[in-house]
This record gives sequence, C-alpha cells and structure tokens, in this order.
Amino acid sequence: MATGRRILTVVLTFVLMLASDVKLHCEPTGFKRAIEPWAWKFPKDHGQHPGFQTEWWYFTGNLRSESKRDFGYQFTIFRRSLTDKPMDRASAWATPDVYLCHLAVTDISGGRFMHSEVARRPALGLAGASTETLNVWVGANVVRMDDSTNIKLQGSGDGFRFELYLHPKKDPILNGPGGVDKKGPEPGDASYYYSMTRLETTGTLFVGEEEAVVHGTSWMDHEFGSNQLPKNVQGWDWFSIQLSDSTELMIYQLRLKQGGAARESGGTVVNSDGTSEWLQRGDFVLEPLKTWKSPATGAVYPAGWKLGIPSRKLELKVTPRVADQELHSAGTTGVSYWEGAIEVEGNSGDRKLSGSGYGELTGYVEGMSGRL
Amino acid sequence: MRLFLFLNLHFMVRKRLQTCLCLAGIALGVAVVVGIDAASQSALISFRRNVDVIAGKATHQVVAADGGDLDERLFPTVERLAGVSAAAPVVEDTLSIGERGSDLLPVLGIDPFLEAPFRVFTQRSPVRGETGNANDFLVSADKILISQPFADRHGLKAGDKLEALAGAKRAALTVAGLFRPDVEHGGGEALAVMDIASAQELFGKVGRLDRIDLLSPGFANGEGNRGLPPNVRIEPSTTRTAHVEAMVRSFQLNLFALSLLAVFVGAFLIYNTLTFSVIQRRRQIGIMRCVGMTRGQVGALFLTEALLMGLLGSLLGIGLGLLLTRYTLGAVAGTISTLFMPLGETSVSLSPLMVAKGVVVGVGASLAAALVPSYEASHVPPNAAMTHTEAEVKMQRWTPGFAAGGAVSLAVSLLLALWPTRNIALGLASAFALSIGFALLCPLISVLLVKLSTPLVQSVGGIIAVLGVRNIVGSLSRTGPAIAALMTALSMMVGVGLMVQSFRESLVEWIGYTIKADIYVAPAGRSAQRNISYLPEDVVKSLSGLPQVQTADYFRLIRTTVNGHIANLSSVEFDAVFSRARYRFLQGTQSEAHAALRSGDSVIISETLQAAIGLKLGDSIPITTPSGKIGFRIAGVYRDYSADGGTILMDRSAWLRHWKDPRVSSVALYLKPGVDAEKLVAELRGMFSSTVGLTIRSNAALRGEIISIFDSTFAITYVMQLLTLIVAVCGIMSALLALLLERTRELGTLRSVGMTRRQLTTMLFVESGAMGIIASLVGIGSGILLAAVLIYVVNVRSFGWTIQFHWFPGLFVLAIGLAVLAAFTATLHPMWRLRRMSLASALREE
Amino acid sequence: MAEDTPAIQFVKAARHFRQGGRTINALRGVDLSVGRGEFLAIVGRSGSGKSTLLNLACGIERPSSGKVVVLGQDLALMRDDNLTLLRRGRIGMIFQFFNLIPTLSALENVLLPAYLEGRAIQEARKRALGFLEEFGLLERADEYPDHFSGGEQQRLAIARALMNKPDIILADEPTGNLDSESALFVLDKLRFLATKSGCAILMVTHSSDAVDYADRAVRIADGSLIEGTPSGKVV
Repeated sequence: MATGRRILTVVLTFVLMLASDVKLHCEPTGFKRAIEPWAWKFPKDHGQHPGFQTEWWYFTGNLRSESKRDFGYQFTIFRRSLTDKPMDRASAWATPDVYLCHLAVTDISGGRFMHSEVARRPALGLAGASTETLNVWVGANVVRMDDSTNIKLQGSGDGFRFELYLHPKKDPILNGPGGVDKKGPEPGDASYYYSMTRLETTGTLFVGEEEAVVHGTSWMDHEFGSNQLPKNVQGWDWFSIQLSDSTELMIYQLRLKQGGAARESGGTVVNSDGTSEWLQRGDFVLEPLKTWKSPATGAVYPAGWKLGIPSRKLELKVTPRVADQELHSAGTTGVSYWEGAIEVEGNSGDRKLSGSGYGELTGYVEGMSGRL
Repeated sequence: MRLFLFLNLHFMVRKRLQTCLCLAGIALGVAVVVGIDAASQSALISFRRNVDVIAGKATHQVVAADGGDLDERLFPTVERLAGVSAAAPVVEDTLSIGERGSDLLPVLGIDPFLEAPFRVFTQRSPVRGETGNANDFLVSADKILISQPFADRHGLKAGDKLEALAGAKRAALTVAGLFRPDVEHGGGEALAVMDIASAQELFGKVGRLDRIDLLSPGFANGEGNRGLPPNVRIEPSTTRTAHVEAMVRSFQLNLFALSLLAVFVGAFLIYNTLTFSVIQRRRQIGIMRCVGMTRGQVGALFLTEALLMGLLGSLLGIGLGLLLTRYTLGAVAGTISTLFMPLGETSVSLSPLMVAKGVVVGVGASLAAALVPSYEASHVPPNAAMTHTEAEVKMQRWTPGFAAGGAVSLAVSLLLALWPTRNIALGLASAFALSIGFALLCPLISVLLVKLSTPLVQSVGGIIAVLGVRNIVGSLSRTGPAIAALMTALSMMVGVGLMVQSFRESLVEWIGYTIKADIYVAPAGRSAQRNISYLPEDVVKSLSGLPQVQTADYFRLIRTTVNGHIANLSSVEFDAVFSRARYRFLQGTQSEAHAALRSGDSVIISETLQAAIGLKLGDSIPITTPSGKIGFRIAGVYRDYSADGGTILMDRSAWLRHWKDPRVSSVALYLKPGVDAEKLVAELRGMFSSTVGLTIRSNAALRGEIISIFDSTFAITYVMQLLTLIVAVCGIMSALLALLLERTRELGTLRSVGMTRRQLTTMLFVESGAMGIIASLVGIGSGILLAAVLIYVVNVRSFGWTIQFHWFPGLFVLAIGLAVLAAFTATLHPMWRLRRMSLASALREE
Repeated sequence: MAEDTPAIQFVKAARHFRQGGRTINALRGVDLSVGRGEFLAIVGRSGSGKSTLLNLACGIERPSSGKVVVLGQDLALMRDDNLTLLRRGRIGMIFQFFNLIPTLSALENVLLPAYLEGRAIQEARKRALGFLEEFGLLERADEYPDHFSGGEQQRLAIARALMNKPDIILADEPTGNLDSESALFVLDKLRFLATKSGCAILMVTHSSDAVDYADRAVRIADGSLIEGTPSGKVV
C-alpha cells in the first residue's frame, strides 16, 4: 500500500534530518499515472515500471519450523523517483531513483518482533530492479524470480536473516478492473496493483544464533503509480488472508479524518480456482473488537476485528498473532506503522474456517500527520 | 596559624607594590604557560571534534595508499568484505568562501542512505519553510547543507546563494539547509555537507572517493589490505588524529619549554620578594621566636605566604592566559588548518586539567623559590635581628656554590645536546639546563665583571659610578637574582631571536636558489594540504601555449607514506626546474641527479625526509604507486624548507608513467628572455579572472609570500619573548625596590654626609644600568649558546632540517639597549619613592 | 662671615607635623645658639625634640616657623643642593648607629665626603690615612665596616665627619651604642675638637658622663628648653 511512499520520504528526511516540509504534497507532474487499465504481461510486469513515481514489491508470510515454531515475515522493497525530469549528471551517484527495503520477522512462538530498514540508490549496483522480470535488490536484500516462476528471497536485518523459496500456486490476480486500484475520487488517484495470493514457501530463517528450516505460505503485492492519498484520509487498515478452503481475501478500509470509511475502500476475493471478485465498500463489514497501546509510540491500534462479507456468508474473527508488531524508527521523527502476522477463525455459512495472513495499520501514531 | 596568616596578609598589603610586582610576575609566567597550553589543547580538541564529526563512528577507513584517491567502483567490494557491518563513501574537500577566499569551509560529500550508522546531522530547529527539500538535495548538483555556526558567521540562511571557490573552479551553490553536527561535544563548527554526487562533480572527482568509512569493529588496529588492490589501505580511523596529535604535541612541547622559561623568570621574583620580606621582618620573627613560635612554624609562615602569592598569581595568570589564548590560538589553529583541516572558529576550551596545570606551575614555582628564604627565616635566632649585611655575607659565601651548580648544569646541558638521540624533549631539556646553568653562574660572573671593570668605571664615571657598581656586589643577595632573571629573559630573546633569524636567513638563501621560475599559477581556492586541488585542464593548456613562455614546470603534489612516515610526494619537470635552480645537494650532485631522474625510477629526497627515515644516496625508497609498492632509487638528498614532513621529488615523466594521472596542482612558467613578468601576470589575471579562480604570482610575489608566512608562523615567539621580558622587568623592578628600601638609611646617610641629589641619581642609574649591562652581556653569551642548542639540537630533532647559524649583531645591541632601558625603568619608581621620603625619616629607617 | 657670629643659631625655631590627625609639636619656638669652639650638649628624654633640633641644624628638616642660621646663613633661604654642599663642606655628622656604608671599605668610608666633593684624591687619601692612623685603624683600612666593633665603627664615623675639616659637628647620641671605653674616646675626641680646632659641637645625649665633657648643657622637654638651666653643667 501507500505506506511505501510515506516511509521512503521519511527515511530521506530522517537521514538528512531536514525534518519537516519535504514536498510530499506537491502534485507530480511529469510522472505517468494509473488511469487506463494496464496491459499486463508477465513476467515483464514483475519488473520495475520507470516513469511511475512510486513502486513497491511486498512479501509477507506465515511460516512454521520443523520444531513447530511459528514465524511471520515481511520483506518489502520500495522504489521512489525523486524527480520527473531527466537527470544529466556526470556522477554515477546522481540517480533519479532511490530504493528502500523494510524487513521484519515475527517470532510468534517466542513473542518477539524484529525489524530493519536499508536504503540505497541504484548506483554502482548497490540497488536496482530489472524491467524484464522480478529481480529487485537493495544491498544484500534480493528478490529474484527464475524462469520457472520460482522466487528466491534473501533478506538480512539486525539480528535476523532469511533465505526463502516461493512457489506460486495461483497466477497473479489484478486488484480492480484492469489492475487499476482506486484510492480517491479523482482520476489518477489510483495505482496499478496485482497480487500473488498463495505462494508456497520453504527456506531457512536465522534469528540470532538460531537457525530454523521453515515452510508455509506467502503473499506478494506489486503496486506502482504516481498518486497521492486524498487529504481527508487519515490512514488505512489492510489485510491479506489465506483461508483453509484455498481461498484468499484482500481487504482495505481507508479511514476518513472525520470518521468512517472512504468510498474507495475495497478488496478482492480469490476463489480456490484462481478466479477473483472485487469488493466495494458496501460489500464487507470491518469492525475493531479491542485495542492495543504501543509502549514505543503510545499509539492505540485496533487489535482484533470482526470481518464479514455478507454476500459470501463469511464471518471471520481476525486476531494479531503477536500484539507488538509495530515498525518504528529509532529516531523520534520516524514514521511508525503496524504490520504483522494475523490469524483468523470463523465460518462460511455452516463451514468452519481458519486461516492466517498479514495486516497493515497506518495513521494511528499521534501527530504523525503534523510532522509529515 | 590563623594569626600568622593574618600577619602575612598584613605584610603583603603593607608592601603592596612589592606584592603586586610579585603577583604580576607569577601571573605573567602562568599566563604564558596557560596561554600556550590552552591554545594547543583547544585547537586539538577542536580538531578532534571535527575529526569526530567527519569520521563519525567509523572504526576504520579505506584510503589510497598511493596518495591519490580511490576508484568508487571499489565501494561495493568493500561493503561486502567479511567483518564490515557498514560502509560509507566519502568525498572530502574544501571550499574557499569570502572575498579573498580566506574562509575555508570543509565539505563532506556523503551518500545520505549509507550515512546513518556513521554521522547524524541534526537540524538546529526545524522551521517550516526554511528547510530545504530532500529530493532537491539529491537531485540538484548545487545544493549544500551548512553548519549553523558557519552560516551564522556569514549571515547565510536556507535558500541563499553561496559563491565559493572549489580549487580553481568558481561555484554558485544554494544553501539547502542548516544543521548542527549531532555529536556530544560540538565540533564541525565550519562544515558543509553535500550529496556525494554533487561533491564529486564540484571538486572534479567524478568516479573517485577520498575514502570509505567502515564500521568494522573486528578489524585489527594496524593497517591492512584484506585482498583489496595494492594501492589501497585499510587503517584505523584514529590514524588521522594520531598524526595531527603528534604534530601538535611537538609544537606544544616547544612552546611549553619556552613558557617554562617565563615561569623560571617569575620564580626569581618570588625569591626576591620573600627574601626581602624575611629581612624586613627579622625583628618580628625574632620576637615571634622569643614568644614561642617554633622554627617549623616560622618556615611554614613564609611558605604559606609563597603559597598564597602563588595561588593568587596563578589565578590571575589563568585569566590572563585565557586572554593570551585569543592570540596564541589563532597561531596553533592556523597551523592545523593549513596542514590538516580547516578548524573554523575555534573556541577556547578551558579544562580543569589546564587550570590545575597553571596552578601547579605557579604554586610550584612559588614554593620552590620560597624554600631558601623560608629556611633562612626559620633559622633566625630569637634574639637577633640579622642585618642586611649578614645576608650579603651569606650570599657571598654561597656564590661559589651557585657557580659550581651552574657549571654542573651547563655540563648536563652539553651532555644532553650531544647525546645521540632524536628525542626532542631531551633537546629542550638541554636548552633549559643551559638557562639554569647561566642563572646560577650569574652572581659569580657579576662579581667578576664588577671587579674587572671597576678601574674603567672609576676613570670614566668617578667614585660615584664606582659606588653604583660596587652596590651590585655589595647587595648581591638582591641584585644577583634580579640580574639572573633579566639575563634569562634576554638569553631567551637572543637565543630564540638568533634561531628565528638564522632560520629566516637560511630560508631566504634557499628561496634564492630554488624559487627560480618567473610566474607561478595555482588554484585560488585554498585547501588543506591533505586535499589537493587541481588546475583545470584548459588553463594548463592555454598557459603552456603562451608565446612568451620558454618552458613550463607542471607541479603535482600528493601526500604519501614512506615506512610509516607521512611525506609530500611532488612531481616536477626537472628539465625546467634545473635549467635555472641550483639545489643544495647534501648527497649526490645536481647534474648526476638530473640525469638519473630523467632516465628512470629515481627520486631525490629532502634532508628532512632523510632525517626521518634514514635512507641515503643510492638506497631504494619504497613508494606506493597505483600498481603497488615500487622501489625508487635515491639519486640525491637536497636541502629543503618547504614542508616539515619531508619531500620526495620525482620527474613528471615518472609520475605519469606510474600514476597515469595528468592532473596538475600548479604550473611554474619560465619566460623567454626580455619578457616582462609583472606585465604578463597582469595580462593573465585579466585573461582568467572571469572564468576561473587562479592565484597568479610573479617570482618576487611568491618569495615575499613565503617569507611572510614564515614571519607569521614565528610571530608567537615574539609575543612570548615580550612577555618574558616584562616578567624580567617586574623582577628587576622589585629587586631594585627592595634593594633601595632596605638601603634607605644608608642612602640617607650618604645624603646627610653631603651627597647631592644629582649624585644620588647618578649612582642609582649607574647601579641599575650596570645590572642591565651585566645581565645583557651574560644573556647574550647564554643566548648564543641557547641558539646553538635550538638550531643544532632541537630543530634538527624536531624537523630534521639544518639551519645555517647567522649572526645578528643588531640583536645584541637590542638586548643591551632593552636591558639598560628595563633597568632604568625599574629604577624610576624606587627613586621616586626615595625622593619623596624626607631625609630625617630616612635616617630613622630601620 | 664674622668670627663673632654664632656657629648655629635657632631663632624661635618651631617644628610641628601632623601624624594620624594630631598635630605633634616637636619643637616649640626654641632660641638657642652655639658659638664657635663651643661644645653644647642637649639632654632630654626620647621624644623630647632633641633629634629634631639636630635635624634642623643640618637642614634635613626645616622649621615650621622661626629660623635656623648656620655659619651666618639662613637655612630657610637655601636650596637643597646648597644645603647638601653646606653639610658636605662645613658640617660633620656622627650618629648613634654609626651609619657607615657597608659596601665601602673603612678607608673609603672616611674618604666618602671628599669623594663626593671630588677633591684631589691623593691629598684626601693622605688625610684619611692620617685619621685612620690616629684612631689606630690603619692596618684595617681595606676592611669593611661590618667587621669592626661598635667603638671602631664610631671612630671611623668620626674620621668621616672630620674629613672635610668641618666648622660644626652634629652628634646624635654618639656614645649611645658604645662601651664606656669607646665612649670616653669619642667624648675626648669631641672635646679636643672644640677646644683645639674651634669646632662648634652640638651633641644630643642622655648620658650624664657625656654632659660632663660639654661646655654647657641644655635640657629639652616636650619641645621646649627648660627654664632654669640656661647654662652650666647639668648633673
């Protein structure tokens, strides 16, 4: 989701400490915008899309080790264009793009959460992305797809590292007609967005001195666009859920500043056969059940939801697998958000269902919007 | 003891002029010590802080061992080295700001995304609208972030344009924001940060890095390479500070030794004052002893007085020293700025340790000087009031002993000077022993001089004059220390003066035979020596194409390390240089060296480098080139005063062959016969002024500049000499005052038996004048020896260069003149007091 | 200058000075004259004004009122230099503490007035050596005064006083620091000078033995001459 843009900007600010007033809200002019349906072609569209201001690749997953320990992971690479004008500079370091990687591991059984961030500009091969296939890297953090669509993820953060092999069980599905995912009322208030909702995952996870051979299920999002969040939106709650009946669910609710959900909230349901349906705001109900207060930022997040899709007689209870899965920067000016492993229980009609997934909650940290 | 303390205070207040002079002496001595100490420490602290800011948390640095810069393509390899947890590329250079490019602004070119583990620059107060745009900083090449203090000093704020010189390049930059380096103790007062891409482009270093900072706590403390190319070295980040600290330490040591002399002179004052007070209070002491005060208590009483004066004087001196620091700091910081890194505005930091050092020196000197008088006081018999005469008898008895001590001290000095070592401290100790030796010899020499000169004095000035000089011997307990103090100050003046003047003269000679080109062209932007800037290629081309030019010397300078010793490596066109210059070869000859330099891998090295690394003619000197270490044959050793670290000269053909880097640091033009150099200089200035910043100097201008740099470097020694002289004048004044007050009755008698005022005046002036002359004669003798020690021992040990000893008779005349003037000045006040006192009360005076 | 004028004449000579806010009257209008060849002793307790009287006589203090005429010259009208020359040439001074110059040898101390005058040194030297011989100090001519006993020092001081053939000798407690034998020597010498050389001698003392040698004695108390003892010996 749009967290990427925000985080990227913040990292720039953070490192340079030009604290405020980075021109987040200036209207991008020369960038391409997500208006018309995209002519999707894979694996080329797994690669980067120059001309769009922002692009990101999001991998999340729930894993279990041979010794039955549960883990969640997040691996995200953002690409951000600093300028829409061509750069005519002699130095190799003068690149229009910047790459950022966010990594997190949740040790569910151990109740621990670890996260890291790395930024590089695509100079001297320090970061980059192919335009032909899925091959994106920031330093030692790499995601690469081979010819048989198997994906290899390598990530290393402070105190943890992982090497995972992902195998898609379903083809990419588009979120919104033609892959255009609306975020606001204006044309171009949108991004191109597809997901790979069920990726069979194996690999190795290193946490501290510990090494765990793991397997489980991952989810991949790839989104690119040049849009801004509408000004009246406070943040969003976003979920990706893989259910035990081989269906998947993506839901996002844009929270308005005055309260309530924006009209552009929505989601996608993926059936077990790989077909999908798009959801509008009125197609689902998302109600927080309780809250959790972050000791680090003082933000109060929802910590459990009731999720219902009446048309499919789907009623789910969504619970964070660990309460504290908040990503917060060490400094005081960083942006913070909650991104973590969740589990679900419920029923579809009479059928009992369970599942797991990831949730992302933004816009809960006090004063954050003021600083941005 | 409280009562006695009160007695002390009472006495000190009553004799307030004496006390004031004494305090002034101690204070000045301590001031010089503190002034020097605080200046070097502050400069060093400021340097360390700057290094802290610039090196950040880096544990190691990757640098070019061949003295050049690094290929940036090395970076990904370095980042992936085992044991490296973070790496950051750095371009480091200097901008010259201001009308004459006089204000230096170090610039750090960094990649913000790789910086976080190393350096954090915090904005002072985030004011909306004042801050720059992070995107712009990375995208536009003209964006620069400036430290708050530097911006304040230049009235800059975010969004302002900043005109600056980067070497010869005129740059128009935009202030993207202000920051405060986020380190605990400040530092980086003058610092700018640019994106690495912008810095590379601005300083002509596209594709190059000055260093790569590493966070690699597991790496060893020594230097290493870890399989990187042979011209690359990994060194601990403290290496840089270590070099500067070594330099500042030797600088500090030299100045500290000089400042100790000032304290030494100050100690005479304390000795004088206390002895005076012992004699004045003999009766009082006798009474005290009668009523039951023990010897120990009497001794303690006087030591307490010394302690009190030492403390008070030290405190005053610390304050005064801080004032002095404003001057000395400029000198020290300037040296560091030129040699290593612009420090910007350096503030005086006074640590408790410095205060303690000042107090220890002041109080220590006071107590040491008080030992003899206190011992004397404690041995006053209860019934006796010893007369001044008895003190004289004692003094006369001790004079040979003092002289023997002096002789021993001189022997020690000689031994230390001749001892085969490179230890600078021992050299300075030799100078110090020399001064002490002469001071101890002073009473005996005074007696001998007076005895020898009495017939002459009598025939010229009559009995009144004889009476005057006779008083010197008659009151040796007073006059001896005063003469010794003045002598020491003069000796320092003569010694340091001779050394500096000899040095200057040697430099002038050296300039005369080495600086031979007609016009010198260099980038106008000054830079610290570490970052060498280059002339733009087209400038070099158009200069060499000038029809007036017969031949040109393309000069290139880098810093290199030879056997762990930092040296300058310069490449020149020897065909051009040797067409006119005659170098002084200490080993080899110019013609043989020229042939060798032209034909192969040969270099000539300066005498200073030879002193440091000990290689000689024909030896192979290992120099790191881009393709690794290569042994160059030493084809000659020549005299050179251009750099204190030592210089290696190689022919430009050899440089190009090995480094393949055609950039030029400066160009020297040798003109065809008949061409007016000054006129051409003016033409060249007109030709280039609009496009590039160049410093174009004629031969005479360059020579003048070298000399003026020399003069400003040594200006600090003049200040110290002046201060020491002032202390000495205080000393002689206090001695004469004591002397005359003690002799009031005697002088009253002289007057009452028929001495006219004029005769009295004559007598006193002869007396003080003779003291001045004696002090200056001994001072000159001792000064000449001191100069010899400084020139042949200290200088050689600290810098490795030979200075030709030059005589400056003017300095001797000045010494005598100053001494007599000082002595006369010192007589004025006591004389005035004496004249105000009525004869009747003078006769009553006890 | 007529032979019959007194050597020293005090005319209503008064001297007061302020000390610590009080006016001290050291001398209250004294009339006194000392004739040539006369040996006058002044007696009195310490602080009575005797020393002031001596100081006025040699011009190192000036009277607050009245006048002091020495050898016919009103001291008040003389400049400091002339006073000095008067002291050097015509007045010899002897002090209780001898006041010899420690940095000068015995001979040089005696020679001092001649030195100061710049007189032909050979002649002066002969004269000085003569004094030293007379006073039994010839062998010690080159020694320094601090090696001398009190009596010897005072003999040197007398020799110094006599060096320039003075008309007047002012002696301030000359025997005050001497043993009786030395004191007798000094008093004999003074008596001799008055009688044989016609010196006017003004001696301040509190010793009755000393008074016996004088032609006349005057008692002074609280700055005034005591009535009833205008002349004659005081016991």
